[in-house]
Amino acid sequence: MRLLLVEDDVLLASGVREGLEAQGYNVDAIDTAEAALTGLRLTPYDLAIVDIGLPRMDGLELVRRMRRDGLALPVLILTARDTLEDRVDALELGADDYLIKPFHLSELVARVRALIRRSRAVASSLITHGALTLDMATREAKLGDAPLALTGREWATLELLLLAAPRVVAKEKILDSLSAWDRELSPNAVELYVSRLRAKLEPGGVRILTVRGLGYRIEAPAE
Amino acid sequence: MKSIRRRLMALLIVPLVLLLVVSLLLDYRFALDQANDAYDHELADAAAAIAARIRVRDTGIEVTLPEDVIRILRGSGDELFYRVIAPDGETLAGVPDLKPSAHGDTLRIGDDTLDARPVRTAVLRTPTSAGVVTVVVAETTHKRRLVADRILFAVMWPNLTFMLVALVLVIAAVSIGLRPLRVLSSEIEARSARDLGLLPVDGVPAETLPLVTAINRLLGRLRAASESQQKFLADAAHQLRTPLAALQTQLELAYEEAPPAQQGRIRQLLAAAHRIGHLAHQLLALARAAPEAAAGHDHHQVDLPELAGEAVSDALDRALERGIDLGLEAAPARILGSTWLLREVMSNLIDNALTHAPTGARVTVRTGVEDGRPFLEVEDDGPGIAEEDRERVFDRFYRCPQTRGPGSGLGLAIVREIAQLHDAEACVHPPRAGGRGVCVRVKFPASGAP
Repeated sequence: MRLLLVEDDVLLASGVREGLEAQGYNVDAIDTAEAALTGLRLTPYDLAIVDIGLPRMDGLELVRRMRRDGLALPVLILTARDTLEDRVDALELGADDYLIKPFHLSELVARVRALIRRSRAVASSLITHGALTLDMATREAKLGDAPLALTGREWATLELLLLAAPRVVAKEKILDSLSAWDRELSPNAVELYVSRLRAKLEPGGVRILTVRGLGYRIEAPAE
Repeated sequence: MKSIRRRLMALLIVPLVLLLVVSLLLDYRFALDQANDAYDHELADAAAAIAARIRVRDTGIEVTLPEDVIRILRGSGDELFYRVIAPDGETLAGVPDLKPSAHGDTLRIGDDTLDARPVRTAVLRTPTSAGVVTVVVAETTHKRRLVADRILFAVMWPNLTFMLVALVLVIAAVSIGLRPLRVLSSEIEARSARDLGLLPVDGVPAETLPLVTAINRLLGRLRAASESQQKFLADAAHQLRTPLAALQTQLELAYEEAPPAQQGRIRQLLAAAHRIGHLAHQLLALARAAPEAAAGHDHHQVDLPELAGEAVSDALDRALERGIDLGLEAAPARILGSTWLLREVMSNLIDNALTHAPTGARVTVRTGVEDGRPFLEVEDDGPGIAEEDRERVFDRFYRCPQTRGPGSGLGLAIVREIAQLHDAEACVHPPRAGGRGVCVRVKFPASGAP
């Protein structure tokens, strides 16, 4: 797994690189957007981490050019600004997620992992989460090596949770998504499917957290 | 308060009314004189008719006035009196009370009184062979008054109508003339305090152009100041946060690599770095929420439940870490505001609750509309805030005496600052269900509701 880090602060760049390398990623750290564009042309990276505040060409412009050049790799933006405008700009220009400085390394790793998981789900139709594997093409689920039988609604619920992780999925969103099968579905039905999923996933150590009044979150697998 | 409108009205209406009153009086006088002239002629004719009856005989001067002549003379409805005076002053006929007013002219017509009644008199001096005989004829003024009333009435209506029409025209003209001013002031009034956009100069009359230009110059300066403030804060945020991120990252790595004996120390360093990061963030937020920087924030429709959901989601890990049950009770509520400042309100309120509530506590974020006013609140069942501290917790850097642990004392100050920027109130209440704990509520103005 090869990542590109574009960050001009030497100390932060080295810290992030080491932190990600400790998780088994290969990281190339570059300190200007211009050099990053060259690097992106030469190497097929799986993900780019881009600081907005770069000298000369800034991170937003870099993302814009990457997308213009047809590079589809997921991009995580690092920003020292927390105003909404920057965030909206970043996401509109084609970034996939953003992280405000200062951040925990663990948070950065979780975001990177989630982005890669999502992009791989698109590319290879395979979602993995700890011991859990979902093959979107064959619609086969596995927990560890054992096949996992899921009903259509359980599958849909799990897919939503996995693609959103580590974010919370609102109960209404699950309800809306399931209503494609069933016109009349009560919120209680969602609780029912989640509790069935819990029972099925528990043996593999995959937990689903209930957030009171909001929804559900699939917990990060223990490393 | 001084009003140009009132001033203009007074300056136009008072002279206009005076002019019309004078015109009314002049019209009246003129018409009255015309009418009087005609009656005076009749009166003079009466005097002449009496004078024609004067005969000078050997016995003296004689006046014979047959009844029918008298009747003709009195035919006009007014009482007619006469007196014929011999050159020696003796009354030859008529009422002796009548006095010839003055000497001199042959015919003199004037006003007089008889038995305390106003009369019109004509004095005719007619020369005879026996000397000058004076004939005095007096007439009560009944018909003259009647005519005067009719004339007054006839003159008054057109004049009053003119006056009313003129008043209406003046009021309309003043209103139309002052409309550009009214448009300008309502335009300024309708703006929000955050709107520092320039006033339109097109169609502004020459008289108010200097005013509008001056306001625009001022607005421009304010906006420039606000923008440079925002720019400074953005730069400061960048300059502060990047080294802090580097420090934190390096410390986290060091923690992993350090021998167990040093991990405790590094953990403390990390905690301090987090606190600095948090404080830097809060100071920046406070500076950004300040009115002098406020012009930089665009206000949009903000969905409070959505914002609350995101904030709960963001704070979930911290709540789990602290063993606190963080939940949401969201009822629909929309307001006009700055999304990222309101997110700051949410995160500070939740952060505050998570910091002060003990393990096992329940923290609930609520949104909704109460008495027509959208609100958001965060409630915990922690130890609560003493009555006397409920206002002071909003002061900058204030921390309750019993508070221990981390916290800058800025969170609620930021909440109040941002609330004020949205014309909202931030207050501490007891929990809705009663019992222990704190509920910090931000109530937005009713107009913010859709």
